[in-house]
Amino acid sequence: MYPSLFLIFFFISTALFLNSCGRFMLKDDGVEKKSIEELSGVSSVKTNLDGLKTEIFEITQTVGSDGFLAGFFVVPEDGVSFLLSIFLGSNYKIKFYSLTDPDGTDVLSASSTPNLYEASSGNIGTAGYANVLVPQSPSFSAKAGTWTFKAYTNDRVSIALRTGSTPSAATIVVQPYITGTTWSAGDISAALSVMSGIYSANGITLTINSTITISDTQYSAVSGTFTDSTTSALVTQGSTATVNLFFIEDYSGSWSGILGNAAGIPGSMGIANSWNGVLINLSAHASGATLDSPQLLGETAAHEMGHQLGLFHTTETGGTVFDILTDTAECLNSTKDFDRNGKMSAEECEGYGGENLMFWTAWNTSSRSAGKKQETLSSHQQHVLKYSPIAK
Amino acid sequence: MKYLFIICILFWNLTGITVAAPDKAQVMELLEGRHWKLDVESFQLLGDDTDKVLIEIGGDTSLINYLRFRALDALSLFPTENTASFLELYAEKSFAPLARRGFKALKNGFYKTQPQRVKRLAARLLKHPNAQVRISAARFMRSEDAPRFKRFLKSESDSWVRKEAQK
Repeated sequence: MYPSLFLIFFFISTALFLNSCGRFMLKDDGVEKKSIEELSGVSSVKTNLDGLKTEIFEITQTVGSDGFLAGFFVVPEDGVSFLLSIFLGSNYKIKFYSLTDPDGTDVLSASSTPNLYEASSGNIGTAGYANVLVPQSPSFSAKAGTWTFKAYTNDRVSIALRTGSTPSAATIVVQPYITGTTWSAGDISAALSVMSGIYSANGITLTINSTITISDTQYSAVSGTFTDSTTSALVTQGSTATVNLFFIEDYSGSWSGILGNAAGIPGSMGIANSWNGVLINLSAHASGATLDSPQLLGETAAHEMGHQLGLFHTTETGGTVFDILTDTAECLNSTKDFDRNGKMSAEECEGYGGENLMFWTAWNTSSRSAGKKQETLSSHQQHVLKYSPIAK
Repeated sequence: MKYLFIICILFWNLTGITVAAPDKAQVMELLEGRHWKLDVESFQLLGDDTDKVLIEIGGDTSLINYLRFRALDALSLFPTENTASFLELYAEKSFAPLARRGFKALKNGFYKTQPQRVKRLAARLLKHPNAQVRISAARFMRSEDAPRFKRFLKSESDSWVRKEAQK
């Protein structure tokens, strides 16, 4: 009996001793009462995206003396990329104040080199949702170590963190959806092949899932505003481990002249929400009720998907604003606006980026009839896609 | 004689400037683009007869729809009788994307000068077979004729249509 009592007493004493040692060590680091998850900046369960080496988790934030919410996360040695997202309900404008890498550089500050100042939605601020993608150009990398951020009042901050080997190629899974009753999955298959061909020629393999038909009539025509309640309900249906392409029958409201739009540059990745997809207007690509322009439809889908993954227009409308990449052609208003109308057409910019998938506008009707295509991506654009948190 | 010749040349040039219809290619160029906004100033610079070219483009069934859609939008800048008749015709088409844009252009172009005409069309479109067209008409009617809008809400069978109409 005594040996048994002794063993029980010894076991309890050892447990108490070890527990107090642990507390003592935690106290030393000023982190008493924090769980191991909190110590790595995590406050929610980590979710792995199907088939990807990308984890999604929410980050604990604390209120600093300066009034900002602050948090941190750790990128491991094999970190490839991350998308840091910030959310605020009621669609108020939200953004980060700073994002500092392990070397102490605030990548959102105008005084840092390089920086994403006024380039990233996480710095500019947008309604309800904003983010920062690293890398959004080869000038950035998801450096191993502790990253810290400060943010304005928000509901939550989450991260999609990709780890693994340095990518030399990439596969991205695409989930198409189609709404309305005018067209069916078979009507967009040729355009999906065009899109797949464009990405394949640029070193990105697309795995395109079978098209899902969304038959609810309320989704046949939706607003291009992702915070609109109907658009939000549609896009939230998107899968988390894919790029979601919503081929809508038409836009509603004031979006009547648009071919397609993405939820952001980039949009959301890995989380089901209102910004997890792009919209492509089928009726705008048809002649009457016949979808007979698969090349243009495929280019539009590929272009909007490029935005969703973080690519900007290489040259913007006026020829005075360009993307953040150093190897994409710039078509300058001062030398190429031959008709002086203040808009850079693909025709005026032939040889100066007009052929790039991410040029701001498509070839005009007569150029398309003559066989002109927008299918090229620069090496830096390919880099952004290959490192995407949604790629493998 | 020399002065008469100069005056004739000037008159001929000025007359040419005021009556010449724009080239179709010029108009088409203003309708191109992946991301498009109605460029009011550029269209107005094209001159009075632009409506004829826009009507031709809007009615050309061989063209890709985005050009036709945008032509309908641009017609709101040229509120002639021809324009109004054309837009009314398209607003009552069964192909909803054209019908909605026809109504929208008529509303934007003619509401200030012919509000009753727009209202009459909206009343007819409240019974259009396509829900999106009914929603467009109902949203207009909400501010124009509250009793009729309430009657629409009572008679509309789709709850999501009633909800959208009130957005």
